[in-house]
Parts: sequence; structure tokens; C-alpha cells
Amino acid sequence: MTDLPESPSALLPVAVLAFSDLTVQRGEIPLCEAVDFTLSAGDICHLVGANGTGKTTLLMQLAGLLPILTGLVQYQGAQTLPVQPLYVSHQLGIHPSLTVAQNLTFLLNLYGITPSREDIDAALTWVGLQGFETISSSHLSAGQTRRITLARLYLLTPEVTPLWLLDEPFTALDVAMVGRMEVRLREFADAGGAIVMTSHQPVGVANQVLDLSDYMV
Amino acid sequence: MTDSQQQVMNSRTQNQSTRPTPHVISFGQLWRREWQVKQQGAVQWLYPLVLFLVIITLFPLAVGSEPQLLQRLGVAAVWIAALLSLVMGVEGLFKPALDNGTLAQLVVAKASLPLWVLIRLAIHWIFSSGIVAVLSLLAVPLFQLSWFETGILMASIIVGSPMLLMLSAVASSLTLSLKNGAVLVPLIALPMQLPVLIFATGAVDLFATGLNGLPILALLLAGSIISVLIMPWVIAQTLKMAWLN
Repeated sequence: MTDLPESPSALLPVAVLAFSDLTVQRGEIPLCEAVDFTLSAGDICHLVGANGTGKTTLLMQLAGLLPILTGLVQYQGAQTLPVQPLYVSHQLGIHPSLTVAQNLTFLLNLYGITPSREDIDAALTWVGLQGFETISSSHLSAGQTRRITLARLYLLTPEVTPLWLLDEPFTALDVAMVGRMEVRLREFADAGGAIVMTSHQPVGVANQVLDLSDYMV
Repeated sequence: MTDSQQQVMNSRTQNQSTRPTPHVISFGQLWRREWQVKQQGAVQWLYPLVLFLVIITLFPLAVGSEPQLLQRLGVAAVWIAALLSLVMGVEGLFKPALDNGTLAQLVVAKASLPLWVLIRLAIHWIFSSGIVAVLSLLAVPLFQLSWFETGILMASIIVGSPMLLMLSAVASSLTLSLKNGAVLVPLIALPMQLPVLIFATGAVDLFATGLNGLPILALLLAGSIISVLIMPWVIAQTLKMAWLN
């Protein structure tokens, strides 16, 4: 019996995502080199580092939006990038002229989910946007707009997308919503999911920390 | 990577059966989304149509009311107005999707980017050239063209405009990551679009003089079909490259 990392993954020895000798690189400029990391089912990894260390770039690479030129990435045991992870970025994927319900429906459709009206109502209630279904997204504040994209977290399960890549999901959210989000992140991880997230705030539910400052070029 | 981490990775390698198959968005869901976006953004697609109407309305006023002159210039005027309105309307084809993150969500969720491009362009065509083709019927009162000539004119717009749109869309996608790239779109697209303009007006003239212009219309139709089959893949690749800049 080998020693496993001290985390929920000790109970669930399932490597959802692993990368070794990875170079975090945007264009020609390497930001970090030789990054090694393993993320198991049940793990929530808090990606930290000063501005410019490459946190967003690493998430974009893992999401398949930027190329990985050096390093090995394994997803669920195969040498491949994560297949259809959930990716929450600074650009939210919200079309301002569509209604809240239309935007949320599209974001769920992308993962093969056709939400019922009850699903939409429940997800929007969870993020505090009940009654906003038919409101144009352009009429919402920055925090409310962000809540639309976060509302899908309520309906997505590890069976649909086992890996969440969240780039500063708590930005522009109030304290109560951050608390609800943290509970949901832990629920998802406990159900077998894995999360890599950046945040400049402490993340109480994270059981792993990857500090990119240690790998800066 | 530590030994224990490697062990975890290896143990998973031996059991890949639980890896989920991606569930991608359907054609109907993509179509509905893009249709909603187009409907809600009426100002954007109405502007090129207003431009088309202004050009074909002002043209007879500027040229004068001599029927023979109007009939001679009418087809060219309508086609030039159609071309300009189409080129003006492509600015917002992909840029908003890049800026608001829709494009990133499509890529990450493994949606078919060529299919999305095709749907987006098809809906854009309906709301631009499709309506322009119908509005070209105004050539009867404005340019005193016969119904037969106007019918051929409408047909030439329907078969030629998809190729024009695809060429404009390629130019739009190529300039996506450039500041003020919209200025370059007509400069890139127009030289490639001129042959379509020449062939289309030529076909209408042939019919008007009693000759057979059908082969030219067939050629335009063939060009449009080929561009519709190929260009969405080309555009999808250029859109992906926009991330790198």
C-alpha cells in the first residue's frame, strides 16, 4: 500500500487531472516552468500567485484555449487535455441582449443539459436572481451578471463534467453568496468532482494549494 | 511529480471506463440561441438594410427620371447597394462572441465551431441578404425595371450573396484580433467579391437582352455552395487562432 496525498483523495485514489514538467506559457513568453501537480476526485485546488504569474494562463491552457508546448498532461488517465471541463473565466459567456433565463439555458445546453423551467428557477433562486428570468442581462450589475454564469454550478454534477476550472469565481460577489458558493464547491468535490480555482481571497474549502510563484521563470 | 502522485495517475490509467463522453449542444439549441441573439439585436441588422434602402432610393433622385437611363443603371445600383450593406453588416459577426466569452465557452464545451459559424452566418444571411433580395422588388417602381428583370435580379442576389457573405466573414475573422480591424474587412473582402458583382449583373443583363444568363447564375450558385461547404471550417480555424493574440 503506497502513501497517498493527505486529502479527500486518500479515500478516492482517482487522479482526475495531473500534469508534470508543464510550462505555463502565453505566446512566446514562458511564465512558469516545470510545474508538477496531481488533482484527484474530491480535491479543491486553490491556485495562488502574484499578478502575472500565470494563473489565468494555466487555466486557459487546461481548458484548451491556449496551447501547451512543454509538459505532460493527463486527464482521467489518458494523455489528453480535460474533456469538456466547466470553465468560468473573466469573460462570462453572457450575451447582454438576451434574458437571464436564455443565457443560463445556453450555458447549460453546452453541456448537453436541457433545463426545465423548474431547474432554471431553482438555479436562479440559489444565486439570488429569482424573478429575473425575463430581464435582459444588460440591465444587471456586474455581480448579478456573474451570478448567471455561476448559477449553472447548481445544476452541473461530476457525471456531466468532473472538472471545474474557475478563474476568480468570487469576484464581485457579496459575502453571503461567497459562502453559498463554497458550500456548493465542497458538495461537488464530495460527489467525486475536482476543482482548480483562482481567487485572491482565502478559499476555506480548498484542500490543496498550488503556488505558481514557486515555479516562476 | 512524487511517487505517490504517479501511483494515483497510474491507478487511474488502468481504469478509463468511467471517463464521461462529452454531451455537446445540439443543432437546434445553437440555432435557437443565435436566432434569439439576432432578434434582440435588431439595431445592428436594421442599419445595413436602411443603408440599402437609402442608396436605392437616392440613386434615381440623383440620376434623374429618364426611364432608359434608370433601367440601364438599375441592376448595378441595386447590386452595389446590396454589396455595401452586406459588407457593412459583418462587423458584428464574431467580435461580440469573442469579447463576451461565448466563443471560449463553445470551444471549452467541445461544441462544433464550424457548425456554430454556419448557423450564425445562415441566420445573418436571412436577416441581411434575404431581406435585401425581397427589398430588391423596389427596383420595379424606383428604376422602372420589368417584373421579369427584377425577378432575375432577386434570383442573382439569392444565389450570389452567400458567397459574398462567406468572403466577408473570412475577412472579418482574420481581422478579429486587430484593433480597428473592421476597417480592413472591406479592403480584404471587396477585391474577392468584385467578380461576383460582375457576373451577377452580367447575368441579369443577358436575360434582359433575351440571351441565356442561366449558366452564369448556375456558376454563382456553385460558388456559393462550395463556399458554404468550406468556409465555416476555415473561419472556425481563424477564430481559434484569435486566442493566441
